[in-house]
Amino acid sequence: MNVMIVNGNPDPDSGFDARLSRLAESARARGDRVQEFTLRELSIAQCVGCFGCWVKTPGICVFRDDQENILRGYVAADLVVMASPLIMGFTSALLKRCTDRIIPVLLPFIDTSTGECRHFLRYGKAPLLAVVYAPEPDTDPEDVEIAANLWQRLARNAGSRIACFRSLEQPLEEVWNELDRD
Amino acid sequence: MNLTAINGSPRGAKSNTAILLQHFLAGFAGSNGHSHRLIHLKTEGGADLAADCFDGSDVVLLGFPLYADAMPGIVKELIERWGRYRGAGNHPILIFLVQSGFPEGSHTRNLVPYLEKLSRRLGCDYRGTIRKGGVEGIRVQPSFMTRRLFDRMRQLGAGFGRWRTLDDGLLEELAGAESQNRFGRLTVNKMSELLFWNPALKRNGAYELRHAKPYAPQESP
Repeated sequence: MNVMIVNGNPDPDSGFDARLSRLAESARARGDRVQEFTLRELSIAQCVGCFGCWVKTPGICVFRDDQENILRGYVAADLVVMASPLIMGFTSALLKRCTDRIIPVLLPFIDTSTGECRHFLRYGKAPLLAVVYAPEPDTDPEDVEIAANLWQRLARNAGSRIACFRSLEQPLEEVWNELDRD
Repeated sequence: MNLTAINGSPRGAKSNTAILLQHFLAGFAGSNGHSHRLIHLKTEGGADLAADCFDGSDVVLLGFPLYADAMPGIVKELIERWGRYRGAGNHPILIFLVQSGFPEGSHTRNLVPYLEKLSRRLGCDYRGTIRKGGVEGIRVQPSFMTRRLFDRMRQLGAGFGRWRTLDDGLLEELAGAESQNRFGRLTVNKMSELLFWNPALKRNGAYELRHAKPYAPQESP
């Protein structure tokens, strides 16, 4: 299985990266091909909603930055792991900036067959998504549910679904068990 | 009452969010003794102004378009900067505007519990979220198509100026149906293709490339 891990942790000293590395190692130990991106080391502009990736250069963003490699990885992946600490109750701005730039993999045209609007998929398929997070000191079950629901909506509109939404502080086997059960 | 509105659209001052906020503020300004300002997050200095806006504001209205089904990255950056206000006193009332291109309310619904919880986390009094779908295009639509929406935004602003609450009936009307009927969905689908996407693609000489797959994995030889 091709796995892409997108690390949206803004703080290199937090211990998050080390836990995420263990997840990557455990994937490799399972025989998966793993590609990792550390967003804070990359240059990714904020999407400005110009729709150039739909109507000017279809499939290609006007910003030719590191997001191109992430889109290439996304298109080739079977599973994309979106990783970020919770900050103010949701995924980091660093990761959000990256997911805002996912729209070149969609077509402008709207599919209504599922009962609500969503965009057709440019590549005809979407990888499965997993979200791994680290809780904040004040994270409670309500926060986890709120964040998970926001991700479920993103996944649904991207033609995918969230196969796993897990804290990185739980044993990693639980991530894989949940994905394997999927 | 001193209200600060923040336009969180990555498109900046010329955005659908800005238009909606301006109509709200026009209604709000009609009440006596109120002052307001509008900060465009995307303009130079806007991010710093917005980050400090709790100081001196009785009310903060944060408006943004749905980007990848939640707040845009620059709005999340602002929310993270607001984290420093946690635990401090004298906080403004918070209200929100979330708008989407897709018409169904189901796309913006999940933001409401987030924004409510965010307000609690910051120690702010949460007074509601204006949700509006089908907003893409209001910049270019003829006035007969937008009049009702803009009237409602001004009424919400005026009502808030008077009673410090967002009118539930107006909120419900703007949020619209959680799901469209089949005819509604087909209309959005076909109309946007015929009136917007295809003409834009053709204007740009990109129509033949509209289904391009530039990042498709190379076939191994």
